[in-house]
Amino acid sequence: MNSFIKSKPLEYWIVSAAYVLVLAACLLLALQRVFYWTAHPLFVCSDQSVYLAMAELILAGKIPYRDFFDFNPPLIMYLNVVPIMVARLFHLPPPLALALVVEALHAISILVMAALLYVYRKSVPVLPFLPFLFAYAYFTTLMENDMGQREHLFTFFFMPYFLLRGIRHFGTRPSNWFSIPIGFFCGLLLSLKPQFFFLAFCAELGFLLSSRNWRALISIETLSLLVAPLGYILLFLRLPKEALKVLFEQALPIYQYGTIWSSKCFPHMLCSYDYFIRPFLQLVGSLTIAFLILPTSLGRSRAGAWLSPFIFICLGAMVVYIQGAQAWTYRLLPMALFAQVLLAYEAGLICSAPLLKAFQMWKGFSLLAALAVFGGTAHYANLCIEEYRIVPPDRFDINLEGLGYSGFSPRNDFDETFFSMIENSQPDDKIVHIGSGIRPGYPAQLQAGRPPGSRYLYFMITMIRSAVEVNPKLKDKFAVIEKQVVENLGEDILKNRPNLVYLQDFPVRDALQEHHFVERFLGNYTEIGTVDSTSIYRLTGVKFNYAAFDVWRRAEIAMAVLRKELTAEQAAAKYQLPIDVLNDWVKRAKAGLLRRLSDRTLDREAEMQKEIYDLNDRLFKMNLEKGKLEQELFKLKEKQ
Amino acid sequence: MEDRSKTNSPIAKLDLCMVGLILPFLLFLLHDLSTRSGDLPSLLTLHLSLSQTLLFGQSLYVDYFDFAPPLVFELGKIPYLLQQLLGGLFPLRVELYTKYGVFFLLLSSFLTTYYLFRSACRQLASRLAFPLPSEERETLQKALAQIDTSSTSYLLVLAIFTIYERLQFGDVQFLLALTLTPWLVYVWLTGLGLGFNRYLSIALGLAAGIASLLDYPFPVIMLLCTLAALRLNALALSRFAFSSGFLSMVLTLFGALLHYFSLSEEVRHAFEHWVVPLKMLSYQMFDDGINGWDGAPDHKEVFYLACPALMFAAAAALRSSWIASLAMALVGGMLIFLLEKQGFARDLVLAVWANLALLFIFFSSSLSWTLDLIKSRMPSSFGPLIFDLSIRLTLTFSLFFFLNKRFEDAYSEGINPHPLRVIKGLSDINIMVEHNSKWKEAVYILSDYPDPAYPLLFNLERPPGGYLLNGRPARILLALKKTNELKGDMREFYEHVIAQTLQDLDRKKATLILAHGYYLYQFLEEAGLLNSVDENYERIGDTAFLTDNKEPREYLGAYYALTVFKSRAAVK
Repeated sequence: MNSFIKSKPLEYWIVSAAYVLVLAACLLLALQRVFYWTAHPLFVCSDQSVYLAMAELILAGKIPYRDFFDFNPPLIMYLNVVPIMVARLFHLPPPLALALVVEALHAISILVMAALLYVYRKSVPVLPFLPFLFAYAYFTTLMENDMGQREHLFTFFFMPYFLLRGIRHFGTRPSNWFSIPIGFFCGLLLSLKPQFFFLAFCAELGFLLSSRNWRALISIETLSLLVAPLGYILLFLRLPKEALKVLFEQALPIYQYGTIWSSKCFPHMLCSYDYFIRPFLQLVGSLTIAFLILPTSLGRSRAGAWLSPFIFICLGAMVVYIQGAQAWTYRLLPMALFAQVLLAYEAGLICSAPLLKAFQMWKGFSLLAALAVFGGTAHYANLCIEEYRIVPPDRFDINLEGLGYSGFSPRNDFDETFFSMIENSQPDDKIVHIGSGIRPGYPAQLQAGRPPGSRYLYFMITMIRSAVEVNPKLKDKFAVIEKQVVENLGEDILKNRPNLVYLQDFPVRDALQEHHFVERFLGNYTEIGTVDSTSIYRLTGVKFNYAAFDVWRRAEIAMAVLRKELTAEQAAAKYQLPIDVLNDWVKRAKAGLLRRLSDRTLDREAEMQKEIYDLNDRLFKMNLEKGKLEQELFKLKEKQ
Repeated sequence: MEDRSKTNSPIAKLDLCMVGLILPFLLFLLHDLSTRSGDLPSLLTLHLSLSQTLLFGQSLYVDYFDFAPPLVFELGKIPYLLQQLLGGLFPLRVELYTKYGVFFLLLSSFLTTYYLFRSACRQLASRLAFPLPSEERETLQKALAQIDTSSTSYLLVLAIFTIYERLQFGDVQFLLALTLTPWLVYVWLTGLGLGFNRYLSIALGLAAGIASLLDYPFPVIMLLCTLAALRLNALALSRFAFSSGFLSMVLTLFGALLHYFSLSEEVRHAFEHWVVPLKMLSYQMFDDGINGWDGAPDHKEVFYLACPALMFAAAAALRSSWIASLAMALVGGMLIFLLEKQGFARDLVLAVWANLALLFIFFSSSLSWTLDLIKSRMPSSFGPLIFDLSIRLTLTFSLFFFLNKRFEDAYSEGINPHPLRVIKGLSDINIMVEHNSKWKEAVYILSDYPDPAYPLLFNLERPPGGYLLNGRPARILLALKKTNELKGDMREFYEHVIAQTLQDLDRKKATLILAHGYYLYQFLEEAGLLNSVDENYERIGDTAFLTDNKEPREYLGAYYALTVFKSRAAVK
């Protein structure tokens, strides 16, 4: 050991220590975000929640498309099995497990890239790549709604692959220990969406034009890249025929023609909100700097040769986003990341010359700089963690004990639908949500831990109607599909008897009314209220008038059963109640008693929240009045 | 001594291109401009209308509002002044004077670019005949090769671009593109150490200086394009800094500044405290109404084409700073689109020009490379030439005819709209205005964007009937009011708008008032102006800006009708 240490010059140890410090800072920057997710254990967005739910169904032996419906290729559903298994292993809520798995992938991705930079430091311009690494680490810390989306997962192995390809193109042969796993996992994640292959193609084209190294095209990593997609195609074709039939005859046609209902116009996609325009402005900024650098000697340098591939993937990602015709933030994610890392790389490129001079003047400067970076990052991470821990006085947190987990989750992480599900059902009760989109059914249903009561985790009748609007010639075809899916949904409700059915008021109810859906399939259900513009139907056996029994009456009847004065059947017969309703009241009364008798305060958030809403309404009306009075005053002044 | 073989080829191609393609195109265009009417773009006609009022003693921004900087309106006066001066000899409408003026600028752009390339070929060949340091020799050889492969394409781009953007002929971005065409070549070649005719350089610098002041992002774009063309190289920068063109540009900017300070205090106050802050706010505020798939015009193809164009530029910019400057212009064009947050075709004119330039140069370079490959295999020297010519001519003429047809269809639709979607029971705004107002009677069309009003009011010679020629401030002021941010300068402006509008309503200045869409109606209501409208005007119905949301009739938000009010005196 001593001889090893002595064999290396001091400079080597200084630079290595500096590198380790910078890497540690990077990882710290990335992983401080874990504290955020532990403070929001149930926060998840609609798409990710539905994939998690599908993964649960897969683990229960269900087959995609045949046993549960979706538009997307199945890989994402199978990949989500990993966080579900982590959740079960460590008894975590699935959303938290997803976040932790994603953070782990993120950390691995950073480590792999850092290893590549270190091992091939003689052929890769390390200095500009350090800000790149930081920008990459920082990017995921900004993720909330898009955490774990397919585009997000794609970046974790595409960026190391990108780096590896550059190393190969610019004349170095990377080790197979890097090439094979990076190539394979990149290929796996490219298979999530076909357009990701276009981005890999853009990267390749950019490198080719920069390096003119055609021999680099065929390499271990490019061959490894193909393994996963080929395997995926083979496994995909092995899905049961019924599953493929649903996918090709229903899901894909609806998706192809029906997504227009959520389409946005072009300016909206680019400029509407900050989270759209900021990446585009970053793209414009990075391209501006790139085209100022390219014609200079810096642009023709070894480090400058990386600019073209970066530009290519930025532009490719822009095209992929625009082609989607949807203003969905996750679709912009790759372009946003590429633009940010390009900006960081350019900053590193510009600063690398003076920095190198400084390092050459004094060898210890690199260690000092690394210490400063580490110190700054640690301070930032500390501030972030403190912020995650702060509970504002007006914030209500939900106790997760009722869901079988420990800890709390901020109320803002939930839609109102979640609370209605918790209030009106038990953990094993199935629920069906029939809306125009995935939200609010999911994530509420996943967060509440209620299993789905139909093969349709979300419903798509609005997409079918949009498809017909766009293509009136296909009216008959989509009429058949619509009839089929409505019948399937109804069949599932009759067969599975979900405790709750949520039916969105507009436009879904109107569309389903043409099929007499409520009369045909919700005969055993009674409407109990509304939430998030959706009517809630509870399974009552027959139509039942809840209003006829006030709370005290219900308590009397439930207590009679709890005191064993009557059996449930006797009470149902005596008071002419559906047995399901009675059982539900008895369950809730028992749960309420137990909760009340334990040493806790009641949850009054809903009442207090309603009070706040009412006060806000009053304030709004008073402001309107104030505005009118101001106008009258202005007119009076004018007249004078 | 010149190496004639090195100069003859590109110069011959340039001469052939100018005589064989550009000249016939210019003649065709001149004929088209002369025989067609009502085809000027919306903003240009708005600026012309406003400029006319300034000639009659009105104050800019005080009596009428628009976002454009003052210089735009000074230029807008020129057609009217020419008409006054030459009207006796050439009794033409202002529209024609405008078109001929822009045509003159287009012709100048062609001729200047042609001259620059021609002169550069001679100079480069002359220098290369002498011993030079290897780096300099390589740079000059690359430049000559670049001119050889790309100069004719670059000239053709201007022609194709003119047809592509025929409906934006004379718009500020169009004028910027006309200026950048020779300017970027000039900067690039001057940076390499070449010199050009002093008077031409001065004229070019003057044009560049004026063009860079026509809109707010233009100075930044001009600066970045110029820096890119000079490769941020100290020697190139110093050569350019001492060129006649640069000095002329600086003097022009200085002159513009002096002109600005010569404007009245009132106008300067309005510009600095109202117009500029409002424009900056407009850059930050997005119209929530621009939502659904048909809520704005669709020009995705410009961004799609920008992808291969910029990719090519990224590969070529290493060898040519001229290409880098074109890429910078494209990025600048995209930036304007992002800032304007609307999606109109006029917001993408610069991007279209830069796209075409890069793609044509890319095509030309690829063709040259293929040609070299063929030449090495074919004994005949005519074969490759025929191949080259046939490909270029086929592409050029195909594009030309396709784009011209596209323009013809769009022009017809603009004059006599027959969109697929109609608002039942409503006639088009053209008919409503024509039937309910007379020549020279003021009409006030309040809209968040000027397209329903202009060029209609310009073509029908209806002077503006109200303060907000561009109704965008109404939406901005409403938003500020809602968030209690209507203070200071914006409060002052708001009160000025109301005062001016009340005055115009009480005087019944406009025979006809049309209020378009949700924002303007709400603005009138909240400002208490609807009472004055009710007192002096009678609602006579609704009309529609019939369109499929394509050029030249583009709209934002929903397909709203316009509420029409006619002066009670006129109704009687």
